[in-house]
Amino acid sequence: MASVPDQQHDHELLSPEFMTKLEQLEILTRKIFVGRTKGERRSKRKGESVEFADYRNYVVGDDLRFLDWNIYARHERLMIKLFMEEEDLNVTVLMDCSKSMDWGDPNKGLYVKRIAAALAYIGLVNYDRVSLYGFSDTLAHEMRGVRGRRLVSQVIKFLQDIPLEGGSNLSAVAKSFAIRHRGKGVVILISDFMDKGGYADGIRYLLSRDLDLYVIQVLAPEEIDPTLRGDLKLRDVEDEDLAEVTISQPLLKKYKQNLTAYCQDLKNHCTRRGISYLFTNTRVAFDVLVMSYLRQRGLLR
Amino acid sequence: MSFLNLWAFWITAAVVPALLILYFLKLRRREEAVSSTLLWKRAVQDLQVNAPFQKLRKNLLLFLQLLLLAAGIFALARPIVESEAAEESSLIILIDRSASMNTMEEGQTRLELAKEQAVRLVKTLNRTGSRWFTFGGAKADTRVMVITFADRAGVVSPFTTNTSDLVDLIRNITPTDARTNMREALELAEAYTMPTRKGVDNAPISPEQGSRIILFSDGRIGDLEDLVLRGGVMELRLIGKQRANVAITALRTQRNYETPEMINTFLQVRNYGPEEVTTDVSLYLDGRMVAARSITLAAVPVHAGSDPTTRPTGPTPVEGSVVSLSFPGQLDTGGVLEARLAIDDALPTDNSAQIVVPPPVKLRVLLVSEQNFFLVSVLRGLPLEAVDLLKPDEYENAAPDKLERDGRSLYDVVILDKHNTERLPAGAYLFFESVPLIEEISVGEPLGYHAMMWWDEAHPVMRYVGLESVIASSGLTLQAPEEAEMLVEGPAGPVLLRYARDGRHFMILSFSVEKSTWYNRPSFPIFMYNVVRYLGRGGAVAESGPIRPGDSLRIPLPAGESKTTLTRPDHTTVELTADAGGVAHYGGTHQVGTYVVSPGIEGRDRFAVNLEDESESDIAPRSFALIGGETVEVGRTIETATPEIWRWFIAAALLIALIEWYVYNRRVMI
Repeated sequence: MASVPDQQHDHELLSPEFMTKLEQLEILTRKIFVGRTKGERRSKRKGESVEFADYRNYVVGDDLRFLDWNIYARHERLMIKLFMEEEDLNVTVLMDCSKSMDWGDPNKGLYVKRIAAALAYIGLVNYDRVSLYGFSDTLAHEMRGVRGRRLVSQVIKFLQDIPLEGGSNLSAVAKSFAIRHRGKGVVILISDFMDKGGYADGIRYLLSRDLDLYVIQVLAPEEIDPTLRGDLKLRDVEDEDLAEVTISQPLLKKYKQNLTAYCQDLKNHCTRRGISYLFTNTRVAFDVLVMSYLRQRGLLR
Repeated sequence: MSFLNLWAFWITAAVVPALLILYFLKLRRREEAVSSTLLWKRAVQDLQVNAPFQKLRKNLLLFLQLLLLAAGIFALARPIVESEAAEESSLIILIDRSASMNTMEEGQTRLELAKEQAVRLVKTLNRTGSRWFTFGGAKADTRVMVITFADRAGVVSPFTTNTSDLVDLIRNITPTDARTNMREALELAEAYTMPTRKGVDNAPISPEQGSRIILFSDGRIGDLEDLVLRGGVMELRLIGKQRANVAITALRTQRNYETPEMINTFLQVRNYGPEEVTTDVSLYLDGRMVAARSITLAAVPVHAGSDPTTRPTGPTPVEGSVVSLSFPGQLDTGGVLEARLAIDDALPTDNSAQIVVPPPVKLRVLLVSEQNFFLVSVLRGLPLEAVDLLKPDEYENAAPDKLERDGRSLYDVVILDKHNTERLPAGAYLFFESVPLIEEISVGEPLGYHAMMWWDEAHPVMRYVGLESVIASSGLTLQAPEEAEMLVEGPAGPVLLRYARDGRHFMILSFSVEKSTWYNRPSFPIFMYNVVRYLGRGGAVAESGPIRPGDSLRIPLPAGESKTTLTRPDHTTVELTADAGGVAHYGGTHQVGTYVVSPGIEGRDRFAVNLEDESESDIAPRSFALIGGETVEVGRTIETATPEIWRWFIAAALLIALIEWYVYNRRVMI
């Protein structure tokens, strides 16, 4: 599979070739949610699709059109035929658009936007209700309830226009999301999780809404294997916090140990709560991530 | 432990604040943006939490740097450890500062080496006097006395326990070019150690008590044969190991008697080294080269295993190692002749020699006599510029400008034959059977036939003059003050007197030559020659021979001057005051070179001091033992006897630097 985000597609979130590949995919959920309108997902509710589901006794007031006259003829009992209902799915992408995402080579922010675009495209193609949120320390940018393939260009423009700025405060963002977002469905949280306030609170807020939560952690290769040397004053791009370090072999070793432990910690935290966790490095080709890793995680089919 | 270079600690005062300032002016760090400092801070904290000595660790590098600095400074201060146990209560240090101690040994003179070793010894012995930098507890003081000697001995420091004073005093010992005379030093040392008081039972306290003498010398001591060590132990610290030296051992000039402007210069050059030497000898007159010659001097083979008990002053000259040269020349004025060797050897002092050549002198003599055939004929035979004759009454009545100028006689010598006079302008006078009419000299009963009893053969006037068979038929009995010098003694007291007063120099003979058997003896013209030369040159003809360092100068001053300024070879000046005879004396001739007085008498205002000493020029160190007592030789090298441990401090500094490097690479700091 060719590497898609090469030079000529640097600013393009999705290339046309990649879109055609994405059309074969759909977003899966391990739970069955009640949708709002008719869609292509099976609903908990019994409804009007052509697929038979069950029988039940007739009670006064039921629509006579759904009586099974064959049963009545054989057993003289009034039974109502129930059919499967198909409804739409809420797909929500929460992506971290803080200043720290505008960093790394390849850039973490662009990478995240690409993932969001791909997921949104898949959702739109499958008539899912897609909501996009870009957050930094507040839930600053949102595009809610988009449905239908024709809105793809609008979604991509929205994603492109989100600036990468501000600090990150996952718990505040998750709280306001939980309050505002009523529907249920799949929520995909994409961030680097380098939040000084911690991620546990945020994840708890999201879980409280009984959502099917996916967590994708995106890190730049410079974060995974720092190439820094010498006596440095490290400046945090988000909060201008300074750290004076002298890079030494033991320090680098310790840093990597800490990073591994941090990611492992996040993964355990998620796994324990039934959340799917995926770690990715922006050096991993984006199409490989979408076509292979996300499918392996069960988010896409 | 004590230190040789205390000034090194002053560096601390300068360097430590600088280091602290540098340390606190922290490293200027490059700023680097990262996505989050979260993990970095956590990593740094983790490392710090895990590291031992967290508080120390923050300043560990500073601490190490200070340690490094301390080690370096300690090394600079040249610490020495006490390797010497001083059981004695007192110790005498003798330091030789004679000419041979100026020999260069690897960049330092022997005297400097000796001083340095003495300083070490002193610092090792006494630890209480050296104030705060002394480590270890106080211990019994050893009183140390320091005597330095060359031709004369001097007490540098009487018995004291104050180490810092001793060190200063020892370091201030100045070199001289003088010969070695250790007897005086030993006598001084004994004078201080021999108890003057008696013990309780009225018995003298044994001088063995704590009289250890440590001698720092190269063993080139001229008067070894006469030295006796009365009790006690002498340790000899032999300094130096150079042997090669070439020296001018003699420089003389002689004017031709008949034609005084012809001058002959004699020069002796000797090689003491174990290698053959070819060098140029050049002769300078007042700084201008007048002659040069190349000479080759044979080597002196090293005597294997020189026996320390042998006492001769150096090996006998090997064939060819001594070269005598003679430079004939012409010089009708006075000047300073200097001979130089174009060689650079260990002892530069004896590579040049100077001699002051007085201008050729022809004397003017006035004979005051009725008539004296003998005197006239002898005087006519002498090489004089002029001999004038005056009758006694002519002399008394002569106009002053014929006899004197500025209160000084126009004649170099005035001879008065049987004529007592009061007319005595400053000058030199020879009286025959007469006396100057001055208070101090008086005449007693006349004397009949008499012979001469004794005469001073050593005096220049009496040189080669024998008076064995001289009998005078009559004579005066002279009475003179005690300071008058008696040259010839007769049965009734002095026959020939020398007396100087108020710028006048008298030579008084109590009999007349024609009234004695002397007139036909060969000794009479010799006497006349001697006495005219002696008086005519201010009475110092014989003294214008070689002057050695340490000899005192006798400087006649022009009439009317009582003060003069002497310029030494190193261009320092000394004010001198003349004594009653119009002569100034100066004893500080420790340096070789030319000493110049101003104002001075023309031709007698310069004095050349030369080493010309075989014992000093032979610089090979020589061990010896003295008669009596016990002489122990300790250390024969130019290295120190007291170990210096600065190398350990340098090693420690290196180690600390390594640790610092390791820590620097391991360290983690915010």
